[in-house]
Amino acid sequence: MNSTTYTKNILVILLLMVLGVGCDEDLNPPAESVKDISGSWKIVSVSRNGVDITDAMDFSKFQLNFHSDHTYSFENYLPFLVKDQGTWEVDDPNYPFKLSFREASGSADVQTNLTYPVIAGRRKIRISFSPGCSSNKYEYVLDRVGE
Amino acid sequence: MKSNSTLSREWLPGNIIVVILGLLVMTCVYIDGVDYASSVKAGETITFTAHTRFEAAEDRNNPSRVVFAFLAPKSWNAAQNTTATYTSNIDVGVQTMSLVPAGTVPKNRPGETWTGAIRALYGVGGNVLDDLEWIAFWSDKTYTVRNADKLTADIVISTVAGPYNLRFKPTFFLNYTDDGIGSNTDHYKVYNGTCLEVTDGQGDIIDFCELQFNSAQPLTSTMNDFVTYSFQGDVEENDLIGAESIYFCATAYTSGGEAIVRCSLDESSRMKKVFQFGNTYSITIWPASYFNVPEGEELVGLEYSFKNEDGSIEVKDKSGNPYRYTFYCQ
Repeated sequence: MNSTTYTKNILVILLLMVLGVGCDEDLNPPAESVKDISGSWKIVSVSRNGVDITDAMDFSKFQLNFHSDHTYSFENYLPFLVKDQGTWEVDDPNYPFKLSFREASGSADVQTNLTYPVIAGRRKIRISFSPGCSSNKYEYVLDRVGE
Repeated sequence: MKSNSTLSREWLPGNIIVVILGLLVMTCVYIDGVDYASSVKAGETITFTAHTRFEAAEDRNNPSRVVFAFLAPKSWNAAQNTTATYTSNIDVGVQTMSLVPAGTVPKNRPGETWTGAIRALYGVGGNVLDDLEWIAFWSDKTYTVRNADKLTADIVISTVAGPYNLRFKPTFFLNYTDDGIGSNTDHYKVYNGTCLEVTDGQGDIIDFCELQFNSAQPLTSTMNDFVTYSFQGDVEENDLIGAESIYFCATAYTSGGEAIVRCSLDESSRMKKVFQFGNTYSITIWPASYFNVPEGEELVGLEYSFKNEDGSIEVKDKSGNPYRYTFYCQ
């Protein structure tokens, strides 16, 4: 086999490999599932400046409701990012890293980082905020109600 | 077979040597003392001079920075108000240090920052309140050391005392980047300083050095924070020791000049016992809700005391006045 033939064969093989990969649908990764946070959520843990204060007072009655029409409401309100009812949005339904609230009476979004960990087999949401002094950082870990 | 057995015979001592060398891979560090004044006026500059040593027990070819951290009240904003320099026996002139860049991870503490790892190890040193923060500097210059090198350095931290009257115990930490807070505690040291007092500032003295009957966390807050008030009954003899329950009796003052009293001695003001044994009780409240603050008003301060179940015994400060807490942010 001379070098020209050899080069041609290599090019044909490479072309077939490219075409083969391009046509093989099995190699496409499965689509990431939508992280639907709509529903009612209750507090399971609270930290203040990194210190767990969950048992320090009764946080159990607070409930945050993300309605499927992207409005939200509270029951038994506790300090949070926003106070009044309004609308909510995540930055990406498949990979949500930011959660935004807009109070019905407000004109600007209030945004926070959102993490969506699985703890003990259950999907939780973790929200950080500073309702008082900006130097005081709080974190609520919320669990979906009724699952 | 012969070569294999020869290899095996050589393998064992060779690896023992490696293990021994591994054990000797160290640069022991020391903080021999830290000089500073016992008091400083609020807003004035205070200097801490740490006398440090590094003694190498082997060659270290990885360039390494000296890491020096100190603990200061959060209200000092020390990361913005501090310079760090040093002189050493191997440098000419004054050398500079810089804040360890945010997010920098110590070599042996994956997932942690330098200040986070130091806090995890040493907390707030010998202080009894936690509104303190570690500030970490590293040398702008890197060093490689040779076996038996003995380096000395006087590290000078110059910072500005914050605006509030307080007492705290400055605490210091020394390490180097090539160790990165490893498992051998010879490679890093902490130095617990004596109490430093800030005078001529704002507010009542906040005492980080010694336990008082009362404490409040966080030290700075608004009425929309969660605030924990504690009665530390074991600090010294007092009339509430042995009480069935202890209650939080408070008067809050609004920006409009209104006084709101909550001293009902019922379940809502009953303090929780923090530990099974001992006499420490606490109550955590959302002040805006606890005092039912009218819409449009803010809380500016609080006066409080601790009472037994029928209110016949009350613990106040040593002057017989209620304890005070001011709502403000830094």
